[in-house]
Amino acid sequence: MNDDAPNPQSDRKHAPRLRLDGAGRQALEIGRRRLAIGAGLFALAFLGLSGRLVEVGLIGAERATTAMARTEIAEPMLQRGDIVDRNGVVLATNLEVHALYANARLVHDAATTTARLAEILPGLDTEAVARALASDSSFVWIHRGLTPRQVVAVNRLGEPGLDFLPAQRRFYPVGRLAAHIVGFSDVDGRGLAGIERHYNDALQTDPAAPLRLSVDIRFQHVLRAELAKAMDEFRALGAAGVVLDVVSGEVLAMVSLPDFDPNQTDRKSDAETLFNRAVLGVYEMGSTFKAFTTAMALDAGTVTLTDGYDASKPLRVSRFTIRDYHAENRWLSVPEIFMHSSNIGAAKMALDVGAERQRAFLDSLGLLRPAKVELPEIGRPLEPPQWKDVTVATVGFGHGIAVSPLQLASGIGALVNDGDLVPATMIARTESEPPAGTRVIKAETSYRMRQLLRLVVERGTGRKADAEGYPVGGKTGTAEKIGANGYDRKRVMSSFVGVFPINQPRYVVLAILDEPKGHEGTYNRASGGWTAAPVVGRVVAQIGPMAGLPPVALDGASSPLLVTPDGTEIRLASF
Amino acid sequence: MNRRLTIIASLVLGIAAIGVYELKYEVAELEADAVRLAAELAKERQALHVLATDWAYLNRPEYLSELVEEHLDLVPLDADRIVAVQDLPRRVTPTPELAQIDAAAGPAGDEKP
Repeated sequence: MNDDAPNPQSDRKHAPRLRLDGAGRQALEIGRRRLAIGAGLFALAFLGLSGRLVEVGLIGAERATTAMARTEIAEPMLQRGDIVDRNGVVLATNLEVHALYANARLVHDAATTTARLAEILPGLDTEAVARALASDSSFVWIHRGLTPRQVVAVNRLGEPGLDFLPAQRRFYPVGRLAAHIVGFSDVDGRGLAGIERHYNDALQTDPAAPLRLSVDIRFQHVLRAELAKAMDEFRALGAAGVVLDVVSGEVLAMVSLPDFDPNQTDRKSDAETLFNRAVLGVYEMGSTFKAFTTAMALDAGTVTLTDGYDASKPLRVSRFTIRDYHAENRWLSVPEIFMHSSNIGAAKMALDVGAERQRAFLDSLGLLRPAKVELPEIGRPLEPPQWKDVTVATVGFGHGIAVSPLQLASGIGALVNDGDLVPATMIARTESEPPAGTRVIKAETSYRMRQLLRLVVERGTGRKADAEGYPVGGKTGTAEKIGANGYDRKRVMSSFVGVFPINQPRYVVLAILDEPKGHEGTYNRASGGWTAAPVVGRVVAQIGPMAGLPPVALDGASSPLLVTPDGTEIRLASF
Repeated sequence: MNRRLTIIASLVLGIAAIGVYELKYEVAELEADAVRLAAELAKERQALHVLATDWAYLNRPEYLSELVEEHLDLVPLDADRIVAVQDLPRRVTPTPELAQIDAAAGPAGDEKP
């Protein structure tokens, strides 16, 4: 400020004050008061503003955090949820890919472009693409799943009519291994088979939550590898296998061979391989059914373990004759009937129980209705139309009735699980929800069945199924397939259903081979005991340690049961 | 008195204005940062997802068993290799005699544990 310059303010301060009286003074006072009120109002307003400023700047941190929270971190936008095994191994997931499309109007030379694209994209349907590019359409799909490298290659073509869209592709990391369980979905993300189809809606509505299956991929690998080896060794047409937890009902492995690659999108020639033999296929199981017959007869009390039947000559029921393959031609006790797999004995045992009780018993095991499991491909069991005497007899040794391998495994599981049938499931159960079982036989009968199943492996037809450290009990089965002229002795379904550890059953392992052919190593025999039993033995030896089961050595304790007419002593293992 | 109030008031006003200006730009910058970080995180998550899939693919049991056959001496675990602790034999307390036998047998420690 310059002192020389006239300052109106200081002038006013030092000049003699103007004194006014009367009306003039009053007016001045009013003016001042109004001014003061105005200034006060302004001051208040500014004070308010300052307060607000401080609040926003310093105290308003809370608002700032809410603003921060609004900046969401995007999860990978999946169109379809993952499928994982019981240990969280990814079995199916969505990957972001690029989809190639073309505006055919902008493509100049359809033939050259097609040829070049075929070089970049192997397996391209060149005819269809050439036709599409030559058309007058402004949008045609060329390929729906390109890798980043292929995208670069296509861009390098410099063809203005080609462009990309972000897309997602379903990918199955383990490929064939779990193909029949997981199934597959189409290019638009609709489940077409297996779990993908059964849980299509759930996978689409809640893609963030992975679907956890009961399957253990390690078990699955062991079962598949062993079945494939056996299929190769015995030149079988196909094979099926199941590993089932008898306590929880969880399916830990399920294999059907031949199988398919779910990552392959072209499935025109796959009708045969897409077929899931383990649940969709129903087969006459043969002798493995004698386990049901024996359990039924023991539980009903029509026989005891020391009773027996005369199997010295073929049994005639109406106009049919029932024979034994390994004919002993003498009186056989119940354990011997089971051990030597006598058709005559099993038929007589079934006839003593009767049609009505037999049917009710098989129904209670769920063998007469389609299995209730979380897969869309479920085979309907073939039940005899009428339960005549001959039906009762043949069903007694597993002919005239066809069930799926999973049903068989589930039923055998109930026989050894203290008689409790636990529904089979493909979904992992949690510890907190114990499955509700239905009692089908007495616990006492269940114990007897375990002894008999052990006898088959110790001394009967199933010796090749035993595994060191994990005592197996089980039953062989060799069912003739129906040919042009009735049953064909040359074409059989050979199976073995095993339970381990037999002293405290935890898992059922089932292996079935379709039309195995014997070789020199098996003396040209193709029966269940020679072909399927070794598979079960090797599977048990491998999955036992995986399951964390401590090896057990049965101490060989056994109790003498009876002495047969030809002098052999039958002893049953006790555990 | 009035003049001083005016000066202080205008000073405060000026400082407050500069403060607000700075604050506002800082916030805007932080917000842009947050958005950028969120986008980066989403990208990383996407990459993690792809890697997890790759991991599952490379851990296929049949592929692993092929690799093991080719490069390692591992074999499937046998049941007889699993022993309960209480079944292990008791540890032998070394005595002078035993030490002598050991010394005669050769340098200690060449035996595999």
